[in-house]
Amino acid sequence: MAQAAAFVNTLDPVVDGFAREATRTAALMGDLPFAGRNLVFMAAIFDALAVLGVTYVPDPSNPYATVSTTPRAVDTVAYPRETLARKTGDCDDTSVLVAALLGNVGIATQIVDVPGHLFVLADAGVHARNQLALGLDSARVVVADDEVWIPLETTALRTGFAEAWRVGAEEYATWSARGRLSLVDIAEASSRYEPASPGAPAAASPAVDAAALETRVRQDLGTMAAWRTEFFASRYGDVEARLDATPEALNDVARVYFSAGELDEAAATLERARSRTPDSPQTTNNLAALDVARGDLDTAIGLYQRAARLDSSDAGIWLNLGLVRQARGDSADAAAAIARGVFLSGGYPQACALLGLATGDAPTREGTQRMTADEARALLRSALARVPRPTTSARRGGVTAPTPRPRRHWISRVAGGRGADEAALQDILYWRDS
Amino acid sequence: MSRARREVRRRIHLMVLASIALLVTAGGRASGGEQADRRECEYGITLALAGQSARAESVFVSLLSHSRGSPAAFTNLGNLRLLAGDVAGSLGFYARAFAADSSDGGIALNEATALLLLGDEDAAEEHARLGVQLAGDAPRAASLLGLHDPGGSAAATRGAERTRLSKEEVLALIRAAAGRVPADSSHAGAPARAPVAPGRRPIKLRAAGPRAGDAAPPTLVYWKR
Repeated sequence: MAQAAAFVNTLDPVVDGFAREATRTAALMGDLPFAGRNLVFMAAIFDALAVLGVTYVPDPSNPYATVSTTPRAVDTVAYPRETLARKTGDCDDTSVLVAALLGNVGIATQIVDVPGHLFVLADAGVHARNQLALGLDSARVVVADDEVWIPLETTALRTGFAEAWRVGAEEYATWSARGRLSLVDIAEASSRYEPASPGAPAAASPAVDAAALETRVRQDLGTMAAWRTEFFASRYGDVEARLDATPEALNDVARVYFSAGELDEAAATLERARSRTPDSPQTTNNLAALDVARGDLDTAIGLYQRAARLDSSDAGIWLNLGLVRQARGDSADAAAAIARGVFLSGGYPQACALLGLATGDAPTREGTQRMTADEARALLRSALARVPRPTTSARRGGVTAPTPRPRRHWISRVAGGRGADEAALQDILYWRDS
Repeated sequence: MSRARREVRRRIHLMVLASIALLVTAGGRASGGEQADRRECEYGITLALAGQSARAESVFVSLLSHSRGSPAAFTNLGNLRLLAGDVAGSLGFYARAFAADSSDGGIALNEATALLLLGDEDAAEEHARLGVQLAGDAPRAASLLGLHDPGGSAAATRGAERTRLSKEEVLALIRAAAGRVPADSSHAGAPARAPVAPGRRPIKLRAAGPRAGDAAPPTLVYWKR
């Protein structure tokens, strides 16, 4: 069957004119529902043949079914331009015609050879890995050589593209299951059997009614969209029912935006989280970091105070409150909050870890939104002096020592990678992960 | 054996059977959850590839809700940002994904693609090299991006920030990077990553639309399942 490639003359002017006119009509249709051009071009070419009235007619004297099963029988195959002119052809004629037209617009094809019959596989232009792009049941396509192919029954030209596809897929599955199917790659076969041209001079390409073609293409695309809807409902119906957006997940996403400096996206995501759990200390704490990044320290302090009321045992929130108060110029209240944070965290190294800081020493500057890591560390160290010892503070009746929260898995927002370089305050703040 | 001892043995036997049944049930429930997560991920990819980005994003956030820290969810959210033209955001998601799964070459290749869009060819090539190394070789790396690697020259396209990438440009990047991967490094574990320059500027890109000869844009990145 590989010799059929000699008839697949993609560069014949008649083939070229017809294929270009059909695909031009599709290209002018505007936004189409399927990404990638191959499916749309396939539909356009197939439907153009239907609009032209090309019909499958078995060869009365030499049917392919007989030829293909008779040893040494000789079949005749029409050139694509001949089939276009006659508007009739048997399965080998129509397969060669479709292969030539698709090849003209860059779509690879393979001839499917099954007992007594031929039809075509056309390249969907989708790598097997991205098969999901089609959004269709895998039974409708063929995966070969890491590529997704569309089986097309070329004798179903009159019924249009979608029906030819449906029939082709059924036939392919049937013959493949029986192991009675072979494929001829047209590009590969063409290198052995160079495409020939008919001797007669080329006539003009047959004209296609553009309006009728557009109507047919839209019908086919509608059918394909219905297939997709059907597939989604059957395969993902229960997934839709289980969709969720927990505040924790939204905080995770917001953190990525925040780290990338995309404050609006981060804020929108955190607001979604807050709408689900308005009293979440996690979301409240993290929203405050956005206000710090925007320079609105008063709002940030209000949010940190609220977060601390919602969860007074979270050391990170107290540390944040202290750092922002310090940046605001309120060093007395800052020291108290930081002392509480250091105490709750379990000590200086733990407090540093919460803020993603390595331990070290440095001076501080009051009333600035820019702060070096060393300055933050110095604040924590100076706060150590104010941290009450749990066993003595109660006895002295001084600052009430809060109960340290149970050990939890802290994840620092920027753990590692932060040295003594000056960083914006928001880069030092503790981001609560849960 | 006394009757009492037989009764004790019978009870122990029943307890062991009950424990096994519990373990099997729990295991089944766990694998059922994983399967549901996989289908959820697949659904998100399907929607994304069909151009339904907003719905796809909801699905990936849902995946994060069900599977906290899922590298697949972060990777695919990064892809959605990249396709929306938000390269800085995409790099943030990829970094988070790679932190969760540093053995996945596809994530590094996505970072390379994003960096190429930023016009940072050197960093792009470093990430591509890492991606190729983790994937095993250039054809496997190309396959992760849904590309066929027909071989050819390693002439990477160099240029400034751009809004589009063609298959050929990505393949050229992979080929160039493959030439720099040590021959015996395919099983060496996760190699060191080239740092992404800090202070990435958020840039807005026009979503790369279909162009003759280009892949449809959603199919030029690696979708993690």
